[in-house]
Amino acid sequence: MEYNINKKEIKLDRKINELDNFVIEFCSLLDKYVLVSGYVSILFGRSRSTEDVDLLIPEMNLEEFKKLWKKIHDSNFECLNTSISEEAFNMIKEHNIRFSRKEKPIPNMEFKLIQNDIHKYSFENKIKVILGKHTLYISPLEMQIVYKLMLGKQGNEKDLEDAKHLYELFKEKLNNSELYKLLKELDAEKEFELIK
Amino acid sequence: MKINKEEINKEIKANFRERLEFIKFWANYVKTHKDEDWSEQQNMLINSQVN
Repeated sequence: MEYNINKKEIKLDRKINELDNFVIEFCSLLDKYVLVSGYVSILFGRSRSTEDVDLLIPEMNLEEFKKLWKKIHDSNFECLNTSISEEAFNMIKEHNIRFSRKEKPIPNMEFKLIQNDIHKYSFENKIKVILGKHTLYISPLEMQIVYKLMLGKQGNEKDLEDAKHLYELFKEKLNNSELYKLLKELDAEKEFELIK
Repeated sequence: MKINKEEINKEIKANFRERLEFIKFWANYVKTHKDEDWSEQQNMLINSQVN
């Protein structure tokens, strides 16, 4: 694994698993996106799996959404919430919607619109991951760690463990001033003490 | 049966601390071994659940 901080690029030579295949296939249908949350830790070796992968995409109009909807469905994926594109378009403004391979609900992609400052930060500062001949875009590591710590506040140990894995793996390469700034802004300093 | 909650909480906390120690150990393994090596082990876990 090689992390080039200046290029915001990580090269991974890992063997691809079934979850990676699902993510690579789905993401190849999208022009702009960023992967966030648990899958980011798993991509870098965390010893767990997941049933859902979280992904953020920029807001779009109905016409753009319908075009993407068709592309997704033509590629053997389906929406688990509804089979009607207009309904899905309205839903996504209110909550996430899920896509999976047809007739196979697990794993699935939790599709969210970029709507808040954390989402915007993750998208604008995304990191490129080169995984063999494939490319994926992930949330910046500093935000990923702090966001997971924030989720850990609600007592979810899995989130704290995800943060710990990323922190231990990349601690020599993290932008510490950015990390501490985010810890303060998102009020996760106490949780950071638990994992550092 | 009388349950000693204090004892259980102590055990939960100790287990969590141990989990964090293992995560540190595994992250260090990932750092110091080839991607091919650690991913082969991780894939056994993931493929068994996703397939």
